[in-house]
Amino acid sequence: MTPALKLTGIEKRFGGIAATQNVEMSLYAGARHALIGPNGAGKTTLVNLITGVHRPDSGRIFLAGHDVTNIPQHRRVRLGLVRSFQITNLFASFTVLENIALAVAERENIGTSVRSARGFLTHIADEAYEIARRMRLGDVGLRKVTELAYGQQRLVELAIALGHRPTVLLLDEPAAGLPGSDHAIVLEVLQELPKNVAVLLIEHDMALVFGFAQTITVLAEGAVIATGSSAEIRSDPQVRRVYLGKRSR
Amino acid sequence: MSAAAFNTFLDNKHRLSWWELTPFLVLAILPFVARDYLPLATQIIIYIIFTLSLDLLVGYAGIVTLGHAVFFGIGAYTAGIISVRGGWGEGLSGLLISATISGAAGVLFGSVVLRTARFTLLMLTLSAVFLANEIANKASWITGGVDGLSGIDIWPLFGIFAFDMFGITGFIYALAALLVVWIFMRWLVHSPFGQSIAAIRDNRSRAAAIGIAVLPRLVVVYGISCAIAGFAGALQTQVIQFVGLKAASFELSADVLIMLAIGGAGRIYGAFLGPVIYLAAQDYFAKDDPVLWQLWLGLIVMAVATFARGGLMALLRRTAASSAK
Repeated sequence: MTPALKLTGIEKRFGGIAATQNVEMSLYAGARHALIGPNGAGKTTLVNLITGVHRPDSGRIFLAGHDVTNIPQHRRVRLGLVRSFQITNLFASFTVLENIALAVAERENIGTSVRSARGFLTHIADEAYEIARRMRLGDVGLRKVTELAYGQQRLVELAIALGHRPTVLLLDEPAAGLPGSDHAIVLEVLQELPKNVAVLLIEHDMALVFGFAQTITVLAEGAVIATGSSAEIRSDPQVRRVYLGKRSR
Repeated sequence: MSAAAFNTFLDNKHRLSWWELTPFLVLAILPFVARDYLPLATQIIIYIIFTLSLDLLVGYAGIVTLGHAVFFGIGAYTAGIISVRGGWGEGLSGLLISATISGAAGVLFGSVVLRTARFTLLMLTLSAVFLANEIANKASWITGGVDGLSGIDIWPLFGIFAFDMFGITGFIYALAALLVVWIFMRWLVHSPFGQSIAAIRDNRSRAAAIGIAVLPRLVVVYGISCAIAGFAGALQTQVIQFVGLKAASFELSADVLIMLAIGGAGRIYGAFLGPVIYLAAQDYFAKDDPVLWQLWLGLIVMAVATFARGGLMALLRRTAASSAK
C-alpha cells in the first residue's frame, strides 16, 4: 500500500541551526500518529516543511505517492494535505459557519466563482453546518468567531481543516492554551475524525497523545530519536531521558 | 439551530435591501429639482465610481494604495488620446477600451507589487503615482503635458444625444455608468469569489492554508479595481472633454482615499457617501472662503476619524443597531 504521506531524508537549516535532520516518516490511510518532543525540537518546522510554508534543503515529500516537494502550499491543500494551527488562526469578520464554508467552497473549487451572489451556495452551506454540528459548534454557528470562547475557537480551527475532507490532517497542538478540563472534549472530537484520514498530531499534552495515537514519533533537536507504539515509547530509555523524564511523571 | 437557519442567514446577509436603492432615487430626481447642480452631481458620480474601485481594494481585499490615480489617469488619458490622436469619438467603446487598458496595466503592476505588503506596498504605489504623473508631464507630444489634453470630441451617444452645455446628457450617461458598475461590484463582493477575497483580507496565511492561491486571486481583484478606476477616468474625460495632470496625481489618490475614509471602507455605500460629502463641502466652502476651504475640509476629516471610526457607514450601522434594540 502507498503511504498517504511519506517523508524521506528531510533536512532544513536556518542559518547555523539544523532545525530538521534526516527525518523519515510514513503515514498510511487511517493512521493515528503523534509527533512529540521538547520545545525547540523542530515540530512546527516539520509541519511547515510538510505543508509547504518552507522548502526543505534536501529530502522529498510524497502525498499518496506523488512528489509534492516543490509544489506550493495551496496546491498541496487541494491534494488533501490540510493543517490546523497552534495559534488560533480564523477569518475574523465571518461567522463560525462562514469560516467553515470558506474551506468547503475552496475544496469544491468554487472560491473563484461568481455564479451566485449570496455568499455560499446551498450545498456548501449545508455541508458547513454538518461539520459544525459534528464539532459541537451547531449552536454557535451564526456567531462571529471573535465572539466565541477560546475553547470553541479551537474547535472552529479544527472544523475549518475538516472542511477540506483531508486525506492527511496535520494538527498542530489542537489543545494549545486550553485548560486541562477542556482536553477531554478535544480528545473526543479527535476520536470522531473520519476513519480513513491519516492524522499527524503534534501535541505537548501526554494524556492527549497517549489517548489518541497508535504510533508516536519523538523528535529532539530536529532528528527522530524513536518511533513506536505508546507502550514502546513510554519504556524507551532514550525518550525518557530527553523528554518524558523532564516532566517527572 | 439547523442548516436551514444558516441558509436563511446567508439569504438575509446578501439580499438587496430597499435602502440600497436610495442613492439612485436621489440621483434620478436631481435633474428635475436642481438643474444648476448637474455638473457637480456628474463629478460626484465619477468620483463615486472611482471610490468604489478603491473600496474593492482597501475595504474588501485589504490592499492599501496611495497611487490609485495612476489607473484613473491611464483611463482618462486613453479616452482623450483615442479621440484627439485617433479621431475616434464613440463614447461607449471609448469607455471599454480605456477600462481594458487600465485593467491590463493593473494586472501587470499588481503581479509585481502585490508580492509585498503594508509599508513597502504603500511606498511602491506612492512612487508609481509620482512616476506616472511625471511621464504624463514629459510626454507632452501625446498627453499635452502641463497644458493638458483638449479638443476632445465625443460623438452624440447612439448618434442622437449630444453632450450639451447644461450637462444633462453627461449626467444621465454618468448615472447609467454608475448603475452598471454598482450592479457589477455588488454582485462581485457577495459572490463566493468576493467571500474568498475578504478571507484573504482577514487572514492571508490561513487563506493559503485552506487552498486559496492568494497572489493570483489578489492580482485578479487588482486588475478589476484598476479597470473600474480607468472606467471612471475615461468617463471624466468624455464628460468634461479635457484631461489634465491631476488625473494621474498623488493629490487625486489622496482625495479618493479620504473620500473612502469619510464614507467608510468595505461597505460599498461608504463609497457613495464619501464623495458626496467631500465634493459638496468643497463646493460650499470654496464659494465662501476661497483661501481657507481646505482647513474646513480637514476638520471634517478629523471629526470623522475621531467620532465615526470606520467612516459614516459604520456610524449609521451602529446607530441603526442601537435604535433597533
